[in-house]
Amino acid sequence: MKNNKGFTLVELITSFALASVIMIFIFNIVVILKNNYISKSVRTDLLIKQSLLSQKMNEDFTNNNVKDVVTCDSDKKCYEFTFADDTVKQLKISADDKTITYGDYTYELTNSSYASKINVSAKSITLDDVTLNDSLLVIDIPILNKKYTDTNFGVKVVYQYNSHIVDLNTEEVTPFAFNVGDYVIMTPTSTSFATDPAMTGYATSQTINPSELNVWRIIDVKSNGRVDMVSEYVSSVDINFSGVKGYKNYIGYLNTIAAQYANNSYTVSTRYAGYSDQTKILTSTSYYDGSNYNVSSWTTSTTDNSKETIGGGDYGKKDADINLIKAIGSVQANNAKAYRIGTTDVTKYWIASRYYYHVKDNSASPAVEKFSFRGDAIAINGLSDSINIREYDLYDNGVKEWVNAENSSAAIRPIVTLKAGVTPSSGNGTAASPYVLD
Amino acid sequence: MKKNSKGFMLIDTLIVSITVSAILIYLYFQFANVNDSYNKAFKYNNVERLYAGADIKENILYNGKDSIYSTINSNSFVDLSDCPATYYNNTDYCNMLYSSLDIKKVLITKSNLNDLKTLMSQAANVNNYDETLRDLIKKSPDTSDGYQLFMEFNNGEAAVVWIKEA
Repeated sequence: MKNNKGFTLVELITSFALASVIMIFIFNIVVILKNNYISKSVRTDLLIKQSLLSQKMNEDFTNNNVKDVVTCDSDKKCYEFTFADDTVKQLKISADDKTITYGDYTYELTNSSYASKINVSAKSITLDDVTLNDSLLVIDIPILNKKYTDTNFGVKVVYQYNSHIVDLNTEEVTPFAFNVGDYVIMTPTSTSFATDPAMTGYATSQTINPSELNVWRIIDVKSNGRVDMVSEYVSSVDINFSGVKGYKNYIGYLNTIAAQYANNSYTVSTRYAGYSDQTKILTSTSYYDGSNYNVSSWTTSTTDNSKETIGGGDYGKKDADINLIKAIGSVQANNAKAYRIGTTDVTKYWIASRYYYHVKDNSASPAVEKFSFRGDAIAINGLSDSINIREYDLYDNGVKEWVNAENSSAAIRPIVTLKAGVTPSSGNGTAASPYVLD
Repeated sequence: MKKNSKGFMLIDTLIVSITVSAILIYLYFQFANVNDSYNKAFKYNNVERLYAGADIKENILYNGKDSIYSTINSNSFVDLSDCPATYYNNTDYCNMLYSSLDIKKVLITKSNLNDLKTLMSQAANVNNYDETLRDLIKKSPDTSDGYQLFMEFNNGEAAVVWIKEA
C-alpha cells in the first residue's frame, strides 16, 4: 500500500523555519561579503596608490639632496622640488582634488577619495656638532575617503638633512608658528590620579582628573621649536599639603602632579607653574636650627636663596613663570588670575615656590621667633600669596617647637611643553577657535 | 512492507538543527578570521612605515651612541621611545624626527628575537607596549646578523626594519 499521508503541518513549519534561518544567515553573509568586497577594494586601491606614491617620492628624497622648494600656486596644491642634480619634480593636486601628480607619475584617486592640500614644512634646531643632521623637510599629503573618515591614506615624506652641508632654500616653506597667547585644545592622556598621603602629608588621598584641563595657552615659543603652554583653567579639585612632610615634598610633588597632564602624542615634558630648578624634595630644614640661624642676630629678611636646599625659601625663582602667565592675562591683563574649570570663579592655585615668614615677639619671655613654612600661591585677587603649611617657634633660650600642622589647599595649574614640529589639525588660535591637537 | 509514515521525529530535527548551526558558526568564525587578517595585514610593515623605519635607522646610525649596542647585549633590547640622552647625541633632533614621523615607540634589539619574545610576554611589557607591536614581535623571524628595529606609530600601525651594520 502506498504512503499517501505526505508531510504533517508540524514538519512543514519546522522545515520552513529552519530553511528561513539558514537563508537569512546566508543572505546576510552574502550582503556583508558584497559590502566588504566593495569597501576593501576601495581601501586596497588607496593603499596601493599610497605605497606607489610613497615609494616614488622616498626614492628621490633618499637618493638625491634637495636644494630648492618653491610653491607653484597659492592654494598649497602645487610644490616644485629641485634636486642636487638639477632635476625638477612637481608635486601637484588637480583642481578637482581627484588626481595627484608627482614628476612623470599620475595617480587617480578612487571615487569618494580626495586630497585637498599639500603641507610642506621645514623644521630646524641649532646643534653644536655641525656634522650631524639638524633639519627636516616634511611633505605631507593627506588623502581621505568619505567611507573611512578615521583613516589617512596620504603620504608623508620626511627628508633629513644637515643645513651646514645641504643648502636647501625653504623660503617659501613656512613652519607652523605658534604665538604667545594662542589658545590650544589638547586633552591630557590620563583620566585619573590619586595623590599619595605619604607625599602631601594630608590625611587622605585625593583624586584629580587630568583630562579635564584641555584648554591651554601658549606662554613661550622656544628657539628649538618647542612650545610651553599653561592650562587656561585650574583644577576642579583643590589639593592639600600638610605639616613638615607636605612642606618638604611640596615642589617635587607639584611636579609629579603636573606630569599627569602629559599627552603621549604631543608633549615632551611637563612642570608645575613656578618651577625653576628649586629643590624638589627637602631632606632637611636645618636652616631654622640654632647652628644656621642665630637667634641673637635675627634678621628681617624673608628669604635666603643661598640656603634654599635647607629650607631657606626660593624667593624670586617662581617669577619667570608668573611673568609669562601674567603676559597672557587669562582673566585680566597683566594678571595671573585663573578660573576654576567649568566655572567663572576665580580660584586660588598653588605655585611651585617655597616661602617662609618669621616675626619676632619680644613681648614674650623668653622672646620667641615664629616661623611659617609656606607654599606660594596665586590668590583670588591675582597677587602672589603664601599659605601656611607648617609653623615653628624658636625661643631665645634655645628651645624650639613645632606648632599647628595646617591643612592648606589650593587648585592645580600645570605647564606642559609641546614637542618640536607639532602642527594643529584645525583652528586659528583664538579663544573662539583654538588650535586643535587631536 | 509497510512504509514509515511517521514523519520527522524530534531527534531528527534536533540533529539537523545542531549540524546546520555548527556549520554556520564554523563559517562565521572562518569569515571573521579572514576579515580580521585582512584588516591586520595593513597595520604591519606598509611601505609608508618602512620608509619611516629607514629614517629612524639613519638617525640611530648617525646620532646614536655606542651604548645602544652594549645595552642590547646585556638587556636584549633598548627602548628608544623617549629619545634618551644615554643613547642619543642629540635628543632635540630625535624628538623632532619622532614627532614628524608620528612615532610612538621605538625598540632596537638583537637579530635573534627569542629573548625579546619572552620579555614581551611579561606583565610590565604587556602594559607598556600595545598589542600590535607585541604581535609583530611575536611573528617576526630572526635575521642572520645585525639588529632589528621595531616601531609602533600613533595610529596603531607597526613596522620592523633590519639594521645590518652597527
